[in-house]
Amino acid sequence: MKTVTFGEIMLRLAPEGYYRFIQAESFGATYGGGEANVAVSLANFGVDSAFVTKLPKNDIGQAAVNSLRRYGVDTSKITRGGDRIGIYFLEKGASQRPSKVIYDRAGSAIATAASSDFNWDEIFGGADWFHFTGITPAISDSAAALCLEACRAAKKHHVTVSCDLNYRKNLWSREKAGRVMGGLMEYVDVCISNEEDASDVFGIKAANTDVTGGKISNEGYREVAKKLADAFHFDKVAITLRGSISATDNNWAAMLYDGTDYYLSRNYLIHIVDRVGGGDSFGGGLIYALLNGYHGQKAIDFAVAASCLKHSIEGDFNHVSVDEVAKLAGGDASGRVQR
Amino acid sequence: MEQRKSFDALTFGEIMLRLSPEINERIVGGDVFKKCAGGSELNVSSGISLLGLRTGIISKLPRNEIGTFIKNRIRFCGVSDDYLVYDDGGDARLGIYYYENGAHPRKPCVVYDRKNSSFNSIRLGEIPEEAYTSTRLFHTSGISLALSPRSREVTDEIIRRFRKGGAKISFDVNYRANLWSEDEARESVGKVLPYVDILFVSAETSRRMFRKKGSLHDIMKSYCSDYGVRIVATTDRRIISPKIHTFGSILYSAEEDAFYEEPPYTNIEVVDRIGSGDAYVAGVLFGLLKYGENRKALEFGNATAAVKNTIPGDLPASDFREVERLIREHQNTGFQSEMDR
Repeated sequence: MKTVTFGEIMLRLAPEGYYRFIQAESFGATYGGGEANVAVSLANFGVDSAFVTKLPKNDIGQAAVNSLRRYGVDTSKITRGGDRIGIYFLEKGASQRPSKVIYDRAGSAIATAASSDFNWDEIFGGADWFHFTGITPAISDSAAALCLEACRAAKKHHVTVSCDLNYRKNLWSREKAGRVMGGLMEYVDVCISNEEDASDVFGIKAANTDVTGGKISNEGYREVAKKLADAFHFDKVAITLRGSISATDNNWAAMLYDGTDYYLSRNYLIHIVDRVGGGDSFGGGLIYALLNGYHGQKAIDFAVAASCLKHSIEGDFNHVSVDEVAKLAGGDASGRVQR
Repeated sequence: MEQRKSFDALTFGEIMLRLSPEINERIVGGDVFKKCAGGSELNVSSGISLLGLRTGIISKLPRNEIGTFIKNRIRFCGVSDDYLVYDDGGDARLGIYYYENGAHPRKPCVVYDRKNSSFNSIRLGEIPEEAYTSTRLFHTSGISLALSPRSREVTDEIIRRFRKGGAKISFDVNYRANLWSEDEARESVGKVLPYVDILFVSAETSRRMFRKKGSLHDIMKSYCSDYGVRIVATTDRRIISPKIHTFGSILYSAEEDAFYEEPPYTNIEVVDRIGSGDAYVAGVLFGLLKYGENRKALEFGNATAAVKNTIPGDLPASDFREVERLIREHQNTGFQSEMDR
């Protein structure tokens, strides 16, 4: 099995522990980005996973490549060049203090990359699955064009395409997101959304839901899943349902709709170590499950368990094995020491 | 109206976030980057302030917590933030550079990421009129000219306004080949030199960028005869290895038609060389502002620069007492105590 993800990987600069930006004397340096995180998840599950992007030809670009390579991600299709790597600064919240992100990603190598930087036929040769998120087309108009090229090439090579809508309000407006993403959806087989994306991007709202109030209506999201599937002829729609109690404690569950049936996972009450990449680890889990032919309930249980574990891990990447996920999905949520 | 704010020195320039792996670690392998504030003109303001005079800096920072961190570092150094302005734009950013120390035979290495930083959007209208008459001395460097067409235009005009406001003008050519070509620099710096009283220029820049020929003394004098510069200072850094340097300088006074020199500081154990040139500028300007003596300026410049090499980060961290003792010991050929107690 071979998967390809395409997008931006950024340098993440975060103060140690819970120090605030203005206090900390140093930053922990790690790398992450929606599609790169999914690629690492899949590599950790043993999948032949490639990540495609463009990174500057300097030491920071090389460090980003190394951060993927060390977990077994295929980095051979990464193009080198351009001015800079995108950066995001992350200050971790706790309790009632929310996490804070400052982006410094304008003009990054991938935002300014051109069609000639990628050979899609070569990239998708022998691939089974292609995944991207709504962040990639939001980065720049040229990145949106690349995304469309990638989708078309993937279809040409009979590759299954998944997309995590992942709306980022600081990158584009809802109107533009709706327009651009709408044009990409015809290539998408599996659509992943969180409790807000469908509304932000396509104006599809769930009834009886107040996300900031921590109130999620499962019934309402069935309707959202069906509306999404009907509008864009998706094979499957998965919706993650995060109920924020505080910056530290969340409810976490998800639903899968296959055009006929709805499968709801169990709900996990999670105590957050690092929530960045939580949604991406869900995507990674779901892709692994569907690639391996898991049926509806087993697939959504695996994906939610994988992402549940991610929330306990520092950094953007999900460092868990199939066995660990299967154990949790199988019902062992005790957290007892494994010997 | 009573003028409440008065500075001995004001500087103008970009302030960057410097990210460095731990000493001897590489950028490519760095899991942790130390945060430092840095920038040639801030280093100068900070150095003069540490020695005991009142300084400030004119610059532009993004209005976010990264900008606030830098503002707090500036205040920590005793440099006034009165004339800092903030960028509210969506693309507001602080220039960044990554710096890795060297160890023989591996050279130090810098990765710049400073394009489109907030500093480049600074407008003259953001600098209050009263700033131009609030200081005895104004300092900036060729980096401010080099960054962007906008920064060049603003720097050019600021220099004129400070001069008109009665400040002495100090300028460090600080030629950076990665920011502009020698031809661009020669033309642009040439335009500001007629306004400059105190000029810092390296021998290499004089010979290559300015294409000057002849002895170093003749070259230094030529800035005074050609442009009316009053004092020219040229440092002489000998690199024995990335961790061992020798540092000295020559200072020329046009008024006295005299060159000032002293034996160089030798066997400097280099911990971090970034900012040592700026520390030299700070020392010289302090000597001129405090004593009005060229000999003192040279002594303070050399000592402040030499000791900065031993301090991590961009910013100097030596106060008057330490620098004065260094000068005394440098001149003393007899007994030297091994520890400062």
